Amino acid sequence: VNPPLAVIRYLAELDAALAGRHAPDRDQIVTQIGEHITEALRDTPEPSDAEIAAVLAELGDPLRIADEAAGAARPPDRREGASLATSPRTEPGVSTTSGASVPRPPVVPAPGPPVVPLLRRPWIPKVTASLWVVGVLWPLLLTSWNRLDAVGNETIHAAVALVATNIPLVASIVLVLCSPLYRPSGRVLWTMLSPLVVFATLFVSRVSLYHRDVPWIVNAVCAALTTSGALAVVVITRRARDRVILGAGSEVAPPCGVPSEGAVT
Amino acid sequence: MVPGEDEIETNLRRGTLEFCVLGVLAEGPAYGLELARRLGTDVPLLVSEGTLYPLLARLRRSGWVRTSWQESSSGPPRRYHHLTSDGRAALDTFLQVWSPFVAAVNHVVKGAVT
Repeated sequence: VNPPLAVIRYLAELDAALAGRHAPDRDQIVTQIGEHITEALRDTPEPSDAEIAAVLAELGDPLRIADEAAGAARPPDRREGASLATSPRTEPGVSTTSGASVPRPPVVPAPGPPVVPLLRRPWIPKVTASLWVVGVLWPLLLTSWNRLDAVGNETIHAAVALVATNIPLVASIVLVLCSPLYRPSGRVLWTMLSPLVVFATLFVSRVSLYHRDVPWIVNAVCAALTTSGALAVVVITRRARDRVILGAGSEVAPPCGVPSEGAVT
Repeated sequence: MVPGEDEIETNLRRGTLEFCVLGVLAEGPAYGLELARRLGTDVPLLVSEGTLYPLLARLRRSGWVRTSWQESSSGPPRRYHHLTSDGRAALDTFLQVWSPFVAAVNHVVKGAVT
């Protein structure tokens, strides 16, 4: 599902409004506001234009957000009688009537150019889907070298071995499990369906075609598995691509679906 | 020129909002939308929800807040914001200062009213 046009436009406006900010700040703010929109629409799979407009209205004018970002780094106003708002925001502390000092956030030099974590880069969904396709075809390539014939009638054992040693398929599963671009439901579906699709494809192409006594229902189930698996991969890949656009998962998400406190910025 | 209510509110907000964020996070980690709603439900501390994120970016760069990802049972993982020990110390200092500051302001303003 593509992000709604209004959301894309809003994020583009925000990104443009933040053009004067340091690149890491800009990236971080746009990314997190993208996550905010996703979160606000989490329970509305197909939001109406009005619902999207309401979420964007709550977020406010992109220019106002940019003003806030600019105000945060505004140089200290040292005019006599400066208001609370214009008190120096970058000084270590502001003395008060009690003699204590309210701390101000220390000045932290802006880091270098933003580094997009490897597992959320835009090419990840395409590479993962490509690996999956190669993984599904992998046993067919191997069996064309008479691998199944070498083990006689133990076709099932050979198929298991072919799946277990299916490097592209395993690689695609690992990428799906570790990349923050994929949702938990997509991860589970990808992991469960992939071996089944390989088995089904292998069965149809290497058994059914040569043995006419295979019941039609078995062939039908295999065909359904292959089709639904391919459709699921397309849908999951498109969702992962949408999350790239929305900026979700901008930091390292918990690897392999394990909740983590470790991804600290 | 006489400042309007909005201008005064904006000025006060800028001096205290970051500590309000730290105060909410002192109760436990929160993700962005949750944080925005908690800051905006009772008293509208935020001008708009979007203005929270530049503030969070600054607090994170200052080392007062850190983030982590946590899985959610109902959708994609969420980015949670946590208070760091430095952030806790900053909040504690602010709290020591805040009450006498408010008392002093009230005292002076009350005198001006009467």
